[in-house]
Amino acid sequence: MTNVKKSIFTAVCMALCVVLPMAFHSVQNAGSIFLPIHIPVLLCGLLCGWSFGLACGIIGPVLSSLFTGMPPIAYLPSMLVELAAYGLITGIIMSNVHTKRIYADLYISLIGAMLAGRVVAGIAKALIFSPGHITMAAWVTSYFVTSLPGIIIQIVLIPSIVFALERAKLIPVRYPQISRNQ
Amino acid sequence: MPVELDQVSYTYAPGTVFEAAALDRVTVSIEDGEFVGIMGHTGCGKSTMIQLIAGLLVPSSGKVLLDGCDINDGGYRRGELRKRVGIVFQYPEYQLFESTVEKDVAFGLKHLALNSAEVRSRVAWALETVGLNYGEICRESSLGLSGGEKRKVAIAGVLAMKPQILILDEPIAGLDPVARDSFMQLLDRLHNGGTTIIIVSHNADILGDFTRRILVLNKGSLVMDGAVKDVFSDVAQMEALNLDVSRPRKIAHLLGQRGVAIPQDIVRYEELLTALTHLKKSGGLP
Amino acid sequence: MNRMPIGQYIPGDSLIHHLDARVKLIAFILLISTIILTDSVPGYCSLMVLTAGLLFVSKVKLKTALGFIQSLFLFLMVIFVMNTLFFDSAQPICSWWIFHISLGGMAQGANVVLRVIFLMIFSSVLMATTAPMEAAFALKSLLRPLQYIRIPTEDLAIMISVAVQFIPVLMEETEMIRKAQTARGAKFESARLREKAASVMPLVIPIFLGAFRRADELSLAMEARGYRGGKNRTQNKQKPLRKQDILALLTAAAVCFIQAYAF
Ligand SMILES: Nc1ncnc2c1ncn2[C@@H]1O[C@H](COP(=O)(O)OP(=O)(O)O)[C@@H](O)[C@H]1O
Ligand SMILES: [Mg+2]
Repeated sequence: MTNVKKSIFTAVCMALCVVLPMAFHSVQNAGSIFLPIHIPVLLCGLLCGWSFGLACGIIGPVLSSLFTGMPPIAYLPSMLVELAAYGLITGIIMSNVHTKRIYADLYISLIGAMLAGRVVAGIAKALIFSPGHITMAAWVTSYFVTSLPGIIIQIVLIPSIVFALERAKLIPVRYPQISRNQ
Repeated sequence: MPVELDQVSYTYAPGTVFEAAALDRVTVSIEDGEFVGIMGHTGCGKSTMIQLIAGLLVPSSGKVLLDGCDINDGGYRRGELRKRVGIVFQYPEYQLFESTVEKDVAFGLKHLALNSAEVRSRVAWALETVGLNYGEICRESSLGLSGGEKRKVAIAGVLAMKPQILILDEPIAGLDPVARDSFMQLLDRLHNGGTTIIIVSHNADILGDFTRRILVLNKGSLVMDGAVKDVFSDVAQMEALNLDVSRPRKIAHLLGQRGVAIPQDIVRYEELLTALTHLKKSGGLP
Repeated sequence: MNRMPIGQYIPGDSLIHHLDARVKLIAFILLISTIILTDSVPGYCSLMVLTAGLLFVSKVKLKTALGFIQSLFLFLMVIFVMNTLFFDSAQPICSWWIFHISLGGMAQGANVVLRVIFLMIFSSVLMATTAPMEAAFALKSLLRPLQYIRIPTEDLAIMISVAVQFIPVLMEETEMIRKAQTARGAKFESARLREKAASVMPLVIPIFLGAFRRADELSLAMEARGYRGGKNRTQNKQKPLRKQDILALLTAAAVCFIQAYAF
């Protein structure tokens, strides 16, 4: 993909950081389980690389706060750190890990990013909201446990989106020779 | 199974800066097996009206009745409504998402209690009905098809539910004349099979050729409702509403203004041709 | 028919409404830093006076400014309890295993909760008086200095512009997809975790396909017109700050200075 294309894909992912949470808000009050704002950021990192993912992870939640009031400003710093980590780390892993199996690449990138992102978000929360060394562990664990369902849902959802985009020929196929042989 | 709107009003986003009154006390009744066209200037509330009929919006006031039952009554089963009323939006292909055509067409059927053989036969029927070859296409990825095929697959997904009422919101906008015609032929076949068809369109020629009755909306109110020839006979009012009448009707109207004694209830080209031939024989043409 | 969401913006004509959004953003950042530096009773009293003044000038109702309390109540409680239980204090009132309840911890908890409350009040005022479009525009110009640390701010600015333009379009498309799938009997919820993911696929996949299709079309058009990246694009002209904007900025800076040194 050209840089122009990556930029515009990143721009729509930023827009989706605003739109997706609104869509989920209207269908059910499960925004906290689905963490819809995570989806475009993870996807942006996977498809466009770390620099674009990082940009999306920082700008996306800020735009969402401005245009919808969600997340509230009090949550914004820790969410920003978390999403920035997602975009950055999915991008780095995805461009460096080539197992010849797209599923494996996606899972490794997603899980690596989601674990690391949650750790830094937990640390950020502890630093912002309560200094003290035991609280650090408490924030990190609580954040981990409460967001576990979200991790599982995203591991199912995001690869499906990637495949749909590949089938619709909107993004290049990652392993063309292999899928042709199947 | 008649559809009735009883004094239905709808306001978007009430109490916000986006508040917009889209429909104002509309009362209308559509009988089983009718083929109805809805016309009106952009923003006059056509889409709002059909989404109210499909139960996708809930009226701000008034009632939507299906077979005499209020569909927004707490006791009305949503599943029943979804089965009976199908709706095709302007770009139906945008709703495709499954990995194969077969799965996409069968998506709505999951919610009906059907066994797998029934599901397969419905899917096959729906695909053949829209003019696709079931055997060839069912394993393909619906997302990789051409634009026209995608649209057909999406429409098949609605038809597979065998809705008794089929609603279409500007389905032919952007189609080329050949595709448009074959699409309307499809609707005509469904209509002959007993399906009630409600179609929103700006294309007066097409509506004139296929529908029997036309509703005209203006700024949220129902301003005209009648047989096609009656609605189109009032060229002045249609012009005042910024709407077209069918071209044959327009020609007859212009000839009439020039003093040619041609009937003013002409809607289609065949009728125009017959009338002109007749006039020529009787020496009425200059 | 494009409806841009306006978040918590309440159109009005107060002094604050008319200020340049860049000034409001900078003043907001200054105010946050003073909140973080505050941790004494007189300090919070003076913040309260400041808040009252701000609400008066901006004509934002107290009820609007405190609208967040309901949704953040639980969160604030958690912060307070965590601080109370875990704060390492020399003289705990009582101790059990890893928990130490102490006056120091409670004070710390109250401190953090108050800071969050003031932060939220100031952000409510900012959001109520600034149209999101203007705020996004201001964000772009405030990013500009980052170009000196080799961050491609021009590219970022373009992405933000494009993103903002896409918001109403994608909202409308999302609404259409939701209705179309609902009409086919989709229910976007399920009790089981795995099925939960499956139940939102009919919504989420078409949304992404639609968004990426539009992005694809736009990027092709841009490339066809010879666009290669931020460098060769003429910069947006920025409106210069007016007198009242500069005055407001100086006031905010002075307030922060006093707040930081006096308390
Ligand atoms: N989601 C919405 N929010 C607010 N107003 C809307 C919304 N959708 C439509 N409207 C307004 O309602 C009116 C009727 O819209 P619509 O039914 O879509 O008209 P039509 O299909 O005839 O073009 C228009 O003025 C439109 O601006
Ligand atoms: Mg419409």
